Amino acid sequence: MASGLAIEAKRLFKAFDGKTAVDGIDLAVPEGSIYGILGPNGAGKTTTLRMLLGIIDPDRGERKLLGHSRPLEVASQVGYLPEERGLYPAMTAREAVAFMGALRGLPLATGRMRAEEMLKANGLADYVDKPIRSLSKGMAQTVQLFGTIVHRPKLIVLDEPFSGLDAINQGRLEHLIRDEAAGGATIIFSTHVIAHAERLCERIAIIAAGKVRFEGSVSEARDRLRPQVRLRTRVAEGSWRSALPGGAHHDDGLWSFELPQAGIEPLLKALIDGGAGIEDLSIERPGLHDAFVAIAGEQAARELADSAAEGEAR
Amino acid sequence: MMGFFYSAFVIARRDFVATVWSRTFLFFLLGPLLIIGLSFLFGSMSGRMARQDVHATVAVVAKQADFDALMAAREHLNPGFGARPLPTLVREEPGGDPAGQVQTLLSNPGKRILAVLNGDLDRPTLTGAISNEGVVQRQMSLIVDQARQQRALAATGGTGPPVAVRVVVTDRSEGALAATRAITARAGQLLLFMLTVLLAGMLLSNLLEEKSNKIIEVLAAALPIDAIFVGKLGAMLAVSLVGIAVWVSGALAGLAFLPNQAGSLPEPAVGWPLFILLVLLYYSANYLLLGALFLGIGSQANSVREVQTLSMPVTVGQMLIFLLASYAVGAFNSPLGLGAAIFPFSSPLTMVARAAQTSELWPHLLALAWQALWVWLTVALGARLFRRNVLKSGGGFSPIRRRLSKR
Repeated sequence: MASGLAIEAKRLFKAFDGKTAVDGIDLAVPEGSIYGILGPNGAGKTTTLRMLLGIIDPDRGERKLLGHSRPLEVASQVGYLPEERGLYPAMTAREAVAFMGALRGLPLATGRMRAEEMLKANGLADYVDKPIRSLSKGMAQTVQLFGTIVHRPKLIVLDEPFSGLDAINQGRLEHLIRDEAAGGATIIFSTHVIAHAERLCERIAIIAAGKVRFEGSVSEARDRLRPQVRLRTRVAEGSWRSALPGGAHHDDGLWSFELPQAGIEPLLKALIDGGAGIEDLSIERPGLHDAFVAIAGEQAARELADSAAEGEAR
Repeated sequence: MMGFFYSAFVIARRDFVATVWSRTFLFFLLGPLLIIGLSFLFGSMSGRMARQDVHATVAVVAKQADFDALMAAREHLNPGFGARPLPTLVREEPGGDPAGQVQTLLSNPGKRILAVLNGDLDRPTLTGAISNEGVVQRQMSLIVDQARQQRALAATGGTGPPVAVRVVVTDRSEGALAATRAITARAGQLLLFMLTVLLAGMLLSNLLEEKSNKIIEVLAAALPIDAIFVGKLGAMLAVSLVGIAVWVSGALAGLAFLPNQAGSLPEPAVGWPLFILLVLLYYSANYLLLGALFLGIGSQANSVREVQTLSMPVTVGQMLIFLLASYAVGAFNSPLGLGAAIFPFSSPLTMVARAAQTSELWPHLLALAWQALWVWLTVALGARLFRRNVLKSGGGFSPIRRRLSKR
């Protein structure tokens, strides 16, 4: 295993009842990074995370978590928030956080103390000794998140952590993820919301249909596409039209096309010489969404959008 | 890596506290006490009612001399019938219409006559709502026959002195000891069986909470599944022992108030202190064995309905095991007895009976080690099935290898 990697997976394969869920996935998550796994529902994100954590064993392939091929050996250094949240309804918020810490080897008394601190620091002072069943869904998710990190893990694995949270709590979670990373923890999370990955992640893996379609930095993903040019002219026709690149398309008076390899200058000259009358001209670096479409395809992008909508509704 | 037993302890502590500190645990504790109390109440009432119902009164329509002869015969025979005495006889003066008198007597609600005997001793007729060749008919025949014998002997003037059987009482005889210890053996088996039926069934639904609340994913990511199973088993064993302690305390308190109600069992072959210790050990082994099986079966269920569906075959299975162990009482070295001691699920019941009847100790050490091995195997198998069928982890290698590899 290469040093400096919190997670390394090679050719992970998993099938359920003969149906392939994960098909030869490779991952390399650097220590101390925030890493996103991006893909629509059913892409294999959760199965990949479960295999990495040792909840299930891969049918084939290798995995290493913090340098260990047996994930439970490093369970005390790992925090995990599953996609399907769950807490014991009768437990108090304090006990729930402390219990989750105890599962990872944290003494119960320490867990209780830290739980109180975390809950109070996040505006939940009145709910420290309230049973989980009396909390709102958002509060319960926050309690579970605290339970995930109460033992101060080196590696935090979050499966769809933003799902079901309102905008305020999503913002808090982003803040918390950045804080944990700043403290030296490695964060890996799965999401189908591109914006979260784009804002938070240093590196991402784009997964579709059980395969990794891209693995690298967000910047590298965006660099897969040429910058996009948007052009609006006063005059619709003219000799300048022949200077537009082949893939340019016109919609509602706006031309869109990839920045030509030769750069923008030859086109600019043609526009001016041809009297096009430039009203608007911009060159934009493609976003992660565009990169996703280019990498995973239109179909996967549509599924991703549907997944995000489902997550919002949850 | 956290130790296996620490992992199990974390789960056991949570389950134990959650169970014992719940309101429903109070009902759990009170349930058997209520059952025992109601059993005493209804048992006493129905016993009294039964005694009132069963004791028969027979009206004897006869002259005083014949009646006296019948009464003397009854008094002579009655001690031999113990708890089921001969019918009470009441005399009625013969009237002019025998058939009418019989009907009148049988239909008199105040007298509560079961049957009427009329005719003289040589031609007796018994009329009533009784079965031909039934107990009352046979008992009355015996009384009449005895009266006639006495009368015949008196007529010949040859009444010999009654025969007195001389009785010599010894401290013990092996036959009597074996017979009485069999009572202790069966009582021990029944106690173990009842407690296990009452308590181990709870394990069928034990993982349902974690599955329905989705907590199982958090647990499975942190701890080995077999440690989760062992923790749950340990917690429920501890809960059951708390229950037993409360019930035993309740029973002892009850006996303190009702000192004369206590029955006594013959002393077991290994002595009372060791027997009680063995009962506790075999109860624990029985609970863990069946509990591990139930936990494994129950972990496959996804709903309360599925658990309820599983309950019946599980209970039937327990009954069959109890039956097998019952056959072994007093025949421990027979093939059936040895089989019942070796078959892991009947072994605790068989061995507790053995402790009551034989004083050898080494078979118990062997049996407890054997049962512990099977608890471990059952837990490992249950955990493997859980990983395969519920968590959908299709690991193909054996649970033993998995444990050794310390995943």
